[in-house]
Amino acid sequence: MGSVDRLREKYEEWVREFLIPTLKKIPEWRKFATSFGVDIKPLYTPLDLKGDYLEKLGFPGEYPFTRGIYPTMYRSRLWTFREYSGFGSPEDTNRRYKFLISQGQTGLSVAFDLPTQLGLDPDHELAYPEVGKVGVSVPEVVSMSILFDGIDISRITTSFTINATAAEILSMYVVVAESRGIDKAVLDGTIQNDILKEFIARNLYIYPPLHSMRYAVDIIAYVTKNMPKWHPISISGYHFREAGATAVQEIAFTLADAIEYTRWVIDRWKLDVDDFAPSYSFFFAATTNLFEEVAKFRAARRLYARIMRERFGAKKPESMRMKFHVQTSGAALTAQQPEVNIIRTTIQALAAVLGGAQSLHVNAYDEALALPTEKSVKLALRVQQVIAYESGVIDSVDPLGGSYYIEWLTDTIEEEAMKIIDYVDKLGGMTRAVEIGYPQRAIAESAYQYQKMVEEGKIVIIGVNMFREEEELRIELHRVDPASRERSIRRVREVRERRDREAWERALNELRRAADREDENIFPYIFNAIRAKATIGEVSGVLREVWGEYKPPSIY
Amino acid sequence: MGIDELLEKARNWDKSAIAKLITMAEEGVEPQLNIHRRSHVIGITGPPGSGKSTLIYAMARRIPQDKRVAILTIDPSSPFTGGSFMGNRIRMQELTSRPNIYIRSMATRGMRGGLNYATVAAINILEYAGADYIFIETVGAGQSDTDVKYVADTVLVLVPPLSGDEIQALKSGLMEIGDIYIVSKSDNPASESTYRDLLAMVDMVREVKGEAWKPVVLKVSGLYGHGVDELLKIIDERFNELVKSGRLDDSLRSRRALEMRLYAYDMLEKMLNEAKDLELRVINGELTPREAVRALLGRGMPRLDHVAVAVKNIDEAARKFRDLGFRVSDPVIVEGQGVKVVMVQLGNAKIELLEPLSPESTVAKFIERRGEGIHHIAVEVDDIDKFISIAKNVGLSVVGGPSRGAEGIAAFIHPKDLHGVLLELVQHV
Amino acid sequence: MNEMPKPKVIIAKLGLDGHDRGAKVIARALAEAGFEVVYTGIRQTPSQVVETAIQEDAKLIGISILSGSHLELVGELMRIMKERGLNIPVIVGGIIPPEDREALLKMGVAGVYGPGTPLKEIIEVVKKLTGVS
Repeated sequence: MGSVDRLREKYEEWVREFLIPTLKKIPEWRKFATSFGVDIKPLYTPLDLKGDYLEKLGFPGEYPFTRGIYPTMYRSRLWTFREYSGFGSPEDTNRRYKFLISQGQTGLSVAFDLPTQLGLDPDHELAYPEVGKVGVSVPEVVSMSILFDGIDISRITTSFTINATAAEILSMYVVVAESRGIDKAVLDGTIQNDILKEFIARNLYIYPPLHSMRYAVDIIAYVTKNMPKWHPISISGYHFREAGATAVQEIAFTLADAIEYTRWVIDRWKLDVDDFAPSYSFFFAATTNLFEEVAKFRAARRLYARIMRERFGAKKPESMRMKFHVQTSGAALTAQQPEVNIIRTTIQALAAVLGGAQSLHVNAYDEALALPTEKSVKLALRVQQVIAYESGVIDSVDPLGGSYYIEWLTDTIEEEAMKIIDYVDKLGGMTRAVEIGYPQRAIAESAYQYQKMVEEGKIVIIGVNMFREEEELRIELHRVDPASRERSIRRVREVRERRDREAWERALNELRRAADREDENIFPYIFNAIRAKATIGEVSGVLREVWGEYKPPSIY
Repeated sequence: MGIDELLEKARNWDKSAIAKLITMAEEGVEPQLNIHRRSHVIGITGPPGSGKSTLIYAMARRIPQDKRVAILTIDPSSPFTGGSFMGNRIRMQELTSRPNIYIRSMATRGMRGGLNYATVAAINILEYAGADYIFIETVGAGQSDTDVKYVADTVLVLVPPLSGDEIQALKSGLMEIGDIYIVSKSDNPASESTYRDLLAMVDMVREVKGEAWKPVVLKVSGLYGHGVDELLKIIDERFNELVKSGRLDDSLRSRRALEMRLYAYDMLEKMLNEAKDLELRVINGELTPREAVRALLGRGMPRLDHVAVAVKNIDEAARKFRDLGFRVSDPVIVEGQGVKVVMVQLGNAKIELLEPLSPESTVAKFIERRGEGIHHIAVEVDDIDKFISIAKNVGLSVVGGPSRGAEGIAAFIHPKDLHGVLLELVQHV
Repeated sequence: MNEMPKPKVIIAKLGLDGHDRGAKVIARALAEAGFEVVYTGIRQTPSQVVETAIQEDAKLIGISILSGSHLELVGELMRIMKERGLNIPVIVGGIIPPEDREALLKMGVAGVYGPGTPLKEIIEVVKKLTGVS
C-alpha cells in the first residue's frame, strides 16, 4: 500500500471514528463557508493538495510566483508604508505628508477631492460643495507644486489615486519636476489610471468606455516609453471588494481588466507585451478573513503569471510578476465602537503581509465617521510598524505556503476566478461587459446577499449585529478647514488670469483636434495644455466636448 | 386639488399636475379626456440590455427644446411583494431638469407583466397635456411586450447582436411589430451579420404585410451617439406620413380597445385574488376549474341560470334546438321530480327542456293547465340562505327548499307571489 | 402576495461621490419590501432630485452621501423643495459625523442613518413616514 492510500484510509477512519461521533455530541455552531460560498471542511490534509510542487508553487521570485515575486521578499526590503491621504488645500495636505514622513512613512499616496478626480474646477457649480472634502484640491499646476513643497520628489515614490483625469495629474507632476530640474525619467510612482474599475464599481468616470480606454491606454504607451520607473496603471480590485464583491470576483474582474488593457495596448500601439507589462501594478483589498485573503493574493499572483505567459506570450519575468499594493477594507470599518477597528485593521494588514504585498495602507479607525485625524493616521502607521518590526511574520518567505488549508484555498480561488474570467471573454472582453453592465450587476448582487447575511446574523460584525452597545460617540473628528476651499478657488482664478493666453488657447485647440483623431496619442496634448497652465476643468472640458459624457446602464 | 384643476394645469405642461393625474390613473381613477391626436407615440422594445434607455436618452436630448417630450419607462413589479426596483431613469437623469421633458417610471403592477391600463391612461394624459413625443420603454421581456403596437404609432425594436438561431427565435415575437429595427452599432462582428439578417427578414415581412410603410433597419449607437440624428429624421418622416394618411386615429382606437382589455385583465386578477374560496373548492374537487371560472365571472349579482320549458315531446323539442345550432345534452331522467330533462347550452345560461314522465307530475299538471311553454326561471345566487331570508322578509313564500340537488342547493318562490313566475333559486356548490 | 403597491419612493446619490453600494442595497431592500423604488443613480444635483420626485409623484426621498458634503447639499435640497412646494419626508444615510446629524434634523430631515443601520429599521421608518401600516 502506498503512502497516499495509507493516508486516505487513516483519514476515513478519523472521520468515521472521531469526527462524526463528535459532531453528533457537539454539533458545529454555524455553517462554515468561504465568502464566495464554498463549504470549508473541518480539516485539510496532504490529500487536498493537487498537482506538482514545482509547477504550482515553485520558488519565490520564479514562475508562477505563487510564493512571492522576489526571492528574499521582506528580508531584503520591507513593503512600502504608504498611507493614503489628502484633504483641503495643497497647503493642508503638504503639512500632513511632512508629518507622516517624520513618523516613518516611506511612500506618499495622494487622495484627491472629487472635483479634481472628475475634471471640474473648484469654482464649478457642481464642484463647490465638494472642494477639499474627500481629498486635496489640485486643479492646476501651481497647486501641485505647493502639494510637494519641501518634499524631494526625485527620491520619494508617490502614488496618485487618479483615473479619469490621470493624464492631467501626471502632467502636473512632471511639470513640477521639470521646474525643479528633475528629469521625468527618474520619477518613481504610480497613477491609478484604471478606468474600467471606475465603470464597474468606483464610479468616477467621465467619458464613454471606448474613449476612456483610449485615454488610459495612451498614457500607458507614453509612460512606458518616456518614464521607465513610473507605473502608468494600478489595476484595482480594491473597489470591487468595497462595492460588495467576493474575494473571487475581486481578483477575477481585476485580471479580466488586466487582459483588456493588455489587449488594447497591443492592438492600438503595436507594442510587445514585454515592453509595457513590467510597468503594471495592482491594488487589492484586505478584509478580516485572514486565511482567505492570504490565499487570494497567492492565487492572483499565480493566475496573472499564467495569463501573461500563456495568453500574451510574455517572456520577461517582470511581465509576469504581479506587484501589488493593499489597502485594508474600508467597508469592514464600523461606526459603532470605532476603536475595535484597530484590531480589525491589524488582522487585515497581517493578511496583506502574509500574502506578499509590496505596499500597504492601513485604514484609520475613525474613517467610518469622517476623514482621519493626525492621531488616528499615526496609529494606523504604527500597526504596520508593529507587524514589520515586532511580529516576526517577515522572517521567512511565504510562511503559510504549504499549509494544507491555504493551498486548498489558493487552488479553489484560482479555479473559481478562472470561471468568471472565461465568462468575460465570452462577452467579448471587459469593455463590452461593462457597457452591458455584467460586472456591475454581479457585484450589486453579492453586496445585497452579503447585507442580507449580516441582517440574518449569518455574518457577524462585532458592535453591529453582536455585542451592540448604546454609545455616545465622543471621538475627536477631523474637519476640513472651510477657508481651504476659498484658497483653492482664489488660486485657480489667479492661474487663469496670469497665464500666457495665446499659448493656452493654442494648446487647447491642438488638444481638441487630437481628441478627434483616433490615431493620435492624446497624452502629449494634455501635457502641453497643462504646461500652458490650462486647468483640469478646461482640459477635461475639451475632451467632454469631443467625446461626450458617459451615462451608466441600469443594472436591474 | 380637484381633477378639473389638475387637468387645466396639465394642459400647460405642469409636471406636478401631470404626475398627480398619472398617480390617480394608477389608483383606478378614469379621467374623461377629449383627446385630439397630436403626440407621436413611440414604443421602444427589445430584450433587456439592448440599450433601450440609452437610446431614448440619446434621442430626447437631441429633440429641439421647444418640443414637449414625455418618457414612460416601465419596470417589472415583483409578483411576490408588488414592489419594483426602477432604475431606468439612471441614464436619463441629465434630462430631468429640462423644462420640455417629463419622465415617469411605471411598474407593471400585475401578474401579466408588460403594459397595464395605467400606462395607457398615462399616454392619454400626456397627449392631453400636449406632448409632441411620447416614448414608451417596455420591460423588454415576454409576449406582453407586443401590446405596445396597439398604443404606439411607431414601434422601435432594438436587436442586440445575435446569432442566426437567435434571430429566428426573435422573429416569432418581435419581428411582426416593428416599424423600425435598430441594431446596436459596434465593432462586434455579430452586429454586422445581425444587420444583414434583419434586412433580409424585413424584406420578407414587407411583402407579406403589404403596408404602405416599409420597415426600416438601422445601425445606431445610443451610447456613442452614432446614427441617432438619422433615426430621429426617419421617426419624424413617419409621423408626417401618418398624419397625411389619416392613420393617426387608428392607433387612438386601438389604444382605447387595449385599455379596456388591460383593465379587464387587472379586474380579473383582483377578483381572482379575492376568490380564495373558489380556489379552495377547485383544489378540493368540488368544482372543476372551468366551472369555478364561470362562477367567478358571474360573481357579485344574481344571474340567469336557466329557463325551464315544459314540453310534451322532449325528443322532438331537442331536435328542433339542435337544428337551430344549439349544443343539446342527452336526455336524463330525474325520478324524484318525475321528469325527463334535456339541457340546451347558451353562452352563460341554459334552457332546460322538461317532459313529464307521468300524468301525476307537477310538470304534467302544468301542461294540462296552461299548455306547453315557460315553466320557471332559475336564478343563480352566491348565498342562497341570505336570498331566502330577504325573500321571506318581503313576504314572498318560499317553497320546496332549500334542498340539495345535483346542481347545488335550490329553492322556489311561489308564482302566486310573483306575478305568475315560478322563480327557482340556485346556489351551485 | 399581491398586496396593493406601496408608495413610490426616490433613492438618490447627491453630489459627486460614487459610493453607491449602500444606496443600491437600500433601494433593493425597499423594493423587496413592496415599495416602488426609483433609483436615480449617482451624481445628482439637489434640483434634479426635487424634479424627479415631482415627476414621479413620490412620497419620500432617501439621500445617500459619503463625501462629507451633506450639510451643503442637503441644505440646498431642502431649500429647493420648499421653493417648489414639495412637502414630502427626506431621510439621509451615509458617513455623517454625530454633530452634523443634529444640523440635518434641524433643517427638517426626517431621519439620519449611519453605517451599520439594519435594513429592517430603514424599511420600518420608510413605512411609517409614507403612511404604510
